[in-house]
Amino acid sequence: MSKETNNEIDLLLRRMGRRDHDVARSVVARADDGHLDTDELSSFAQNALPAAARARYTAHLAECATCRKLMTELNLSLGAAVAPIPAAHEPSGLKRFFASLLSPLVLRYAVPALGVIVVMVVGFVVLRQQRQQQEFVAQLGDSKPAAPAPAPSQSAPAEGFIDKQAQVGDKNESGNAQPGSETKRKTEAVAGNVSGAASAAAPAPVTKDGAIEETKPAPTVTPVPPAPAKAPETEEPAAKTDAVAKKQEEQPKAKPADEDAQAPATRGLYTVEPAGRTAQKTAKTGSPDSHGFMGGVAASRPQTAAKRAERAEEEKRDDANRAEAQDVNNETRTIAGRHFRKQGGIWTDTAYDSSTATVNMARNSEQFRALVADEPAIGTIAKQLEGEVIVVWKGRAYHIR
Amino acid sequence: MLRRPARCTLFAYTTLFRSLDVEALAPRVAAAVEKYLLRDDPNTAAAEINKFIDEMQADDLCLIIACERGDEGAWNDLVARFTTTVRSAARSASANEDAAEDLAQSIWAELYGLRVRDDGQRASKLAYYSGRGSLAGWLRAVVAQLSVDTYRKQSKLVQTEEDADLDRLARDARATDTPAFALSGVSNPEQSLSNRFAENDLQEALNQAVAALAAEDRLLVKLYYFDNLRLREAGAVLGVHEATASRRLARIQTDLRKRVSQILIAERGWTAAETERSFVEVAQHLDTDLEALIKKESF
Repeated sequence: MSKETNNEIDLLLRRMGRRDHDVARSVVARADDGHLDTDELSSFAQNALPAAARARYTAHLAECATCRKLMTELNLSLGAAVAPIPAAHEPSGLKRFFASLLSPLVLRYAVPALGVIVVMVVGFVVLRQQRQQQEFVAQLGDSKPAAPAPAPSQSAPAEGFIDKQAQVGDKNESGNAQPGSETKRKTEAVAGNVSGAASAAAPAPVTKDGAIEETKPAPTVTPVPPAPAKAPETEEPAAKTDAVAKKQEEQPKAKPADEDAQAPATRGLYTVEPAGRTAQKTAKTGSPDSHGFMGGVAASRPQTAAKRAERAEEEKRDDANRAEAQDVNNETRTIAGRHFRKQGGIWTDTAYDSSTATVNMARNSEQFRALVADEPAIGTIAKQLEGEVIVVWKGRAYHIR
Repeated sequence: MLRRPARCTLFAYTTLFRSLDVEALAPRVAAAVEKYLLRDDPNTAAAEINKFIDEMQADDLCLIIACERGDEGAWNDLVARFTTTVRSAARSASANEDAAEDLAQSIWAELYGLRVRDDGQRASKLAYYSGRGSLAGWLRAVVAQLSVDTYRKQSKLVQTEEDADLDRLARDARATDTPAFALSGVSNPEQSLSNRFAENDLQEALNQAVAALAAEDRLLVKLYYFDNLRLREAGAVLGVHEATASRRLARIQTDLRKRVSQILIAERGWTAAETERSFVEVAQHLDTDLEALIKKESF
């Protein structure tokens, strides 16, 4: 009902009240019997009556101008003494505030803004979870083959830690492209500290158990890391790829480990070293498996800045090696700065385009040998990738069979 | 009457504090229960009766009964505690300080009871205090009622300036026998007569609709439109907040309009369109009526 229609009733009621004013006064004049006594009036005014009695007196007051007048005067004189019953009907300030938040004016802007925020948050969480899952799967993939690890190995009796370390050092010197066990131990220590929860979660026991078992058999020395279980593909940043390529180029020259440590290497932006993989590498190089735990303790000690810098360098190298190993796992490899993916049984350069001019040659052909003489990196690639290889080199594609 | 022994709280308090016995108190309590509970529901549960008794103002009731029984200490106590209250109430009900002082003295005389009943007891107003509300509130009610009685004795009918104006306006309208709608500029006599009938129908329907309202709603209408109270004051009488009274009044107006329309259509044979038109015309006329009243007051 509109306000205007209520105004009409309001005006009619006012006139009705004016007309009845005379009647009311005459009632006041002749009022004697049947009215509320003082106790009833005061009890009503103080809201001290039972509901039924109050209803009875309300009905009387609605009709009796005399009692109404008295009641009005009594109420006015009581003033603040008789407080009305406010709270039950009036919304509190807090309620009004929340009500104002839900007003259409506010909602008009708040809802879209809230939607954008929610989308952003969900996107962030999903991306983060994906990354964590990838790391977790990588850890699992690496830690599984740790148990059946014994590949062809040059076994050495499980002697002291120092002996093994020396052994690994020798292997590194012999051009295995495997960083020293100490490097790995330090890396593992950092990984143990950095990836705390991850290493403490599912992969952690595996790593630990594997470590204990693997201290007994001799450490394996293999030129190429054994193919572990498949891990999900990870995209490597370009910078990292370059670093690996540089490294691969340097590998045939069989640089000593010390020189390797000095070589510049860049680390991928998102590369995080999983503890399980570190343990696997440690097993390969024959370092004790308790390195993770020991490394963690060691890392807690204060270290000099020089040591830290050295360790950072070593970490970077480890990352590059790990990227290689991961590529193998993923049926993709990065050799000499080129990415290869196995497609239809052929290692195909990812930069290869079918429109590129392709030179076909056999591995044992004179043409191939001449090419390798000019471009040794192609030889390295062909050596490391078995079977057919398509490599794009200096704008030309070479299909090596 | 009490059908079960009432809760002992009140009675224990009484005997400890005012040295009254249960026999002195029980009739008073029984009377209050009868008046405020059993009259409306003779089958009221004992638990409710006990609750009612527990909510009584034990201290005030015992004081009053002790005063009735002629306890001088209680009287001194009563006067000491409530002199300020009585004087304040008398002052607000009187035109000046002297009248207030006279009224306050009258109150104490009434409370003490100057007349003696047939049974030899003084006829005191204290006998009307039930203990349901506070004694201070009851004393204010006594002052208000005595003030009204005094007022009635002094002048049977006293019209205020405003009332006189309203009456004069109504008299003028009746004396000239001018249809009220003439004020709105209706010159056609037939139309004017028709409008007058319509107005009467509308007014009667409104009276009928108001009479059919719930008691509390009707009281609010009377307090606001008949007694010219503000919403805050009307709300205070009803024991609700001003905002609640306002919302309730708006709802009542809506209900009344619906009800009036129903009455006019069902009982007077009006059409819906006629009802709506009549509302508008009457409202316009009343606006003019009020303007005329204001003009008269300004002269």
